[in-house]
Amino acid sequence: MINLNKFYFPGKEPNEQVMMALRRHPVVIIKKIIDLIFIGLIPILLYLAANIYTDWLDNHASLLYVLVVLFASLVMLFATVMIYYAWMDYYLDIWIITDQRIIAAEQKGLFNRSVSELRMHQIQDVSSEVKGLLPTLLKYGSIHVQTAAEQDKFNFRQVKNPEIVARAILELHEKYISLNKTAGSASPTIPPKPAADNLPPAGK
Amino acid sequence: MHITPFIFLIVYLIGVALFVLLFILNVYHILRYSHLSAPTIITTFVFLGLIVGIVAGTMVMLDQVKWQEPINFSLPFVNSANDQLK
Repeated sequence: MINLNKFYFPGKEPNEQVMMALRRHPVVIIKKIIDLIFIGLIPILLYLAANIYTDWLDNHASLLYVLVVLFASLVMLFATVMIYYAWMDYYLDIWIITDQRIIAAEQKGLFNRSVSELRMHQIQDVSSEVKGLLPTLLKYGSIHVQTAAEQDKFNFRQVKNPEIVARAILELHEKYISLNKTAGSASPTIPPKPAADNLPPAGK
Repeated sequence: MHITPFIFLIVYLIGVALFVLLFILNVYHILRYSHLSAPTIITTFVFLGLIVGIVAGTMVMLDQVKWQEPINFSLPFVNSANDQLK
């Protein structure tokens, strides 16, 4: 069993419990890796085809041989480094749900990383979306968390079992609110829940 | 027309240097925004091994090339077509 509290994030409070740590569904990175492996294999296949069907590459000191080998090597290096990059991008995208807040850390390219935080009392609505054949078959999709503020929704993309996660977030939100009310410290700043006309119901 | 293959080796090495730089930047991001764990260490070493393997394999395949000696700038498919035209 994974120890969820091993996940470190900035500003972790001593009594804060990590409830869930979500990454994208592995199929997302597998698709990218297959594409890149295919790109890396193209020069090898061309080299083998040229070797079998022509005598162009028989002379290992010819210009064509040098160019073909160097080009194939560069393409394979490119594919290898891009696979590593894709893995890094996948590995560094993480959504951590604690009993007090949600932290979304997303790597968007090499020099662009965003970390957003949402307190449980700010949650207005949580909805999930599974769209497409593969996501339906493999049960992955998006989760949209609507906040009170007029800002972009908090989105988790391509996560496993979005319905279950959305329901769990709502339960954590309700638990947080009820605990605070019981303790007599319910935040008076929580605005009333608006009629979410344009939002799908949670757990859709 | 004769050309020294060393020029192509330089171009290749510049490409390798760029990819190694990209790899190092990726490693930096892993170390900066994550922590050292088995998956990160294993993956990094696997990819490092692949990069070294590709470069080493390339050098082995090209060990017969005399980089400083000019070689004839001829491509078989171009030359054979020219021969047919003559």
